[in-house]
Amino acid sequence: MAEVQLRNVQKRYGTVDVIRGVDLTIADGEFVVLVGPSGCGKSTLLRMIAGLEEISGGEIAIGGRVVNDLEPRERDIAMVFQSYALYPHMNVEKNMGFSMALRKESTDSTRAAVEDAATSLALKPYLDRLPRALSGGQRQRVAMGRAIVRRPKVFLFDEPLSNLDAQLRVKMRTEVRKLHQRLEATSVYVTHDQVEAMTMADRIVILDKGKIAQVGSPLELYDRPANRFVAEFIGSPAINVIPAETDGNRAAISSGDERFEIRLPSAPSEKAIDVCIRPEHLRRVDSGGMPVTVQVIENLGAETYVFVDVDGLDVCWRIAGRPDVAIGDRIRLGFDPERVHLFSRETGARL
Amino acid sequence: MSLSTPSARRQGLSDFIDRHFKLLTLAPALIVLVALTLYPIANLFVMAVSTIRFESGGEIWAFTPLINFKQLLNDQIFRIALWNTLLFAIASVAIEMVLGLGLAILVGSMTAFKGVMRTALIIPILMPPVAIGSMWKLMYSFDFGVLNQIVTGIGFAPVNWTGSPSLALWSVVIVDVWHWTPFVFLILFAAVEGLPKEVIEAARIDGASNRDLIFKIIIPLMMPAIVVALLFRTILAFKVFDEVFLLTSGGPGTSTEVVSLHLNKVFFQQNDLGYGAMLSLAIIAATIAFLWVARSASAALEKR
Repeated sequence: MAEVQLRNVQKRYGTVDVIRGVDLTIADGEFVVLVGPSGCGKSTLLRMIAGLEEISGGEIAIGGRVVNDLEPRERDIAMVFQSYALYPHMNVEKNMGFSMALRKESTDSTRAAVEDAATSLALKPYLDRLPRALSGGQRQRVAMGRAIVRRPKVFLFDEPLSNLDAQLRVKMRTEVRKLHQRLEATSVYVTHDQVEAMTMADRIVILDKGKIAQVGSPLELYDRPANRFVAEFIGSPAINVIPAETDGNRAAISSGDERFEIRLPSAPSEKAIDVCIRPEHLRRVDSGGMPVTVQVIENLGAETYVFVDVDGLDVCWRIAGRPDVAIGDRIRLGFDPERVHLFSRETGARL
Repeated sequence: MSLSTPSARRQGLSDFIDRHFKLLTLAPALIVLVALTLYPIANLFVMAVSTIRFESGGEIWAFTPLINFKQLLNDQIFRIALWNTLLFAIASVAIEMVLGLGLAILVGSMTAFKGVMRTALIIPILMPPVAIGSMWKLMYSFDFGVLNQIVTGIGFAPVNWTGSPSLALWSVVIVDVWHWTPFVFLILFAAVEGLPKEVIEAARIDGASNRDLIFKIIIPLMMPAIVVALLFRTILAFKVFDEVFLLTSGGPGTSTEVVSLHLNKVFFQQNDLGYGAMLSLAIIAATIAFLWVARSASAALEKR
């Protein structure tokens, strides 16, 4: 078990900067999720920790030892790939025990370790099978078992659940978390799925164009996003972004012919701002608020997403249970000023 | 409407075509196959049990089932030729497989000049065998060949590459290796390029050294391509003719006499068609036997 430190880590392909100076300390035993849109550099960063990509600048240390120039096999890590990357010519037992066989450990201790992992992953009946005779979910578990048997300092996961169907993905999410609680191993997990990030992480690192946009616990990011990018990335359905002009602690929003004002908790320093409000923080009001027209209603059973039109902008209103509105209704939506996030329109920074 | 109207009869015909369409479309290919492959093979079997003489502008076939076979058993030169062919095939194919595999893995791991290397390595396959034979004959020349210039240049006595009974077969092996290693390389390089990248990365993370990677991951994954290359090369090596014919013509003595050379002499110089056919069958049988032994051996190795 070990701490992982990234100090001003950079990656360039020719003249293209992919990772632009990342500083991050992952504590011993912590489960950190790297998340961001495709092309943000999250997989590259993980592969740099693994040693599969060279480091163009900065330093990576695992357990206090700088590993920049070490081969992957010298870094004492394990990785679970999206494609699982099982050895197609070895059966499940050999796949899981490969790292121990390479270390020339005795066959008895290897078998014991493999059986142990296979039991915890319900793979015992499949030890003799080749990967091609397994289902996607079983292959995924073999990949996890291989990582467990490796007994690494750090577990690396590169979108390990992306190839599973939705139901299995939800189940495996919990499995991975349980595994982490049992092994207490430092883990770095890459995903593009913010739900996975929210449900699994001790801390989330949001990457945007090769830089860290924000680091924090899932709820910190949800409740207090540092910038508009994080606010929009975290949360499903996504946060509503409404452009407004400020005048002191008042912000003016025009909706159709109507122009209405909202009161802000403080007076922002900038004139052009984005007012962001989460779908569940909107509520129906009789007077005041924004006049809107109901456009689309999505019933999910336990909750409902109502999409309304504000000045040509789609706004999502999330309500518990069943809606008491119909398509085409003209209603007014208001919100608690304390719940609003304000960002500079120009820089996206929190105001 | 009665059944005998023209339209009903037409329908009967189209029905027939419908039902036997498969056979009709296969027919041209079947005819070509029978004419060009099955008939000659059948003819070969008949020739092998016959004595054929040419007399007054015609050929006379006599059914003599055992004469050719007895001749085969007593044919000293055939035995030598078979042994030489076996040596030649094992040595050249083994060297070509090792070199081809090594080159394929090496070039596959290169980040630049991959295309250049591939093109450069194809050149020997593109050259006509006659040009290869002449070129190497010049290089092997005792008096003015470039090889002996190098050998004498570094202070050794000139080597009689193709004229010495103990060396001649190995000189032919060298030419064959030069000629055919690129073929093995091409097949195996395609396999290297198709290797799953993440599996190799997973092995590197699992702790595999380069040596482990090659022997425990890359070669096992390449097995299907290796078997194909080995099969092709073995069959072609058993049929080697042009290289030997151009370089040594089987000499000195019988030291490079191979089966196809012997067959050529019996068939076209001695005009002994019946015995030639028997020899052809013996060569086919020997090739099949060798491949079968090789396959059983590799299966036994794999089990272990």
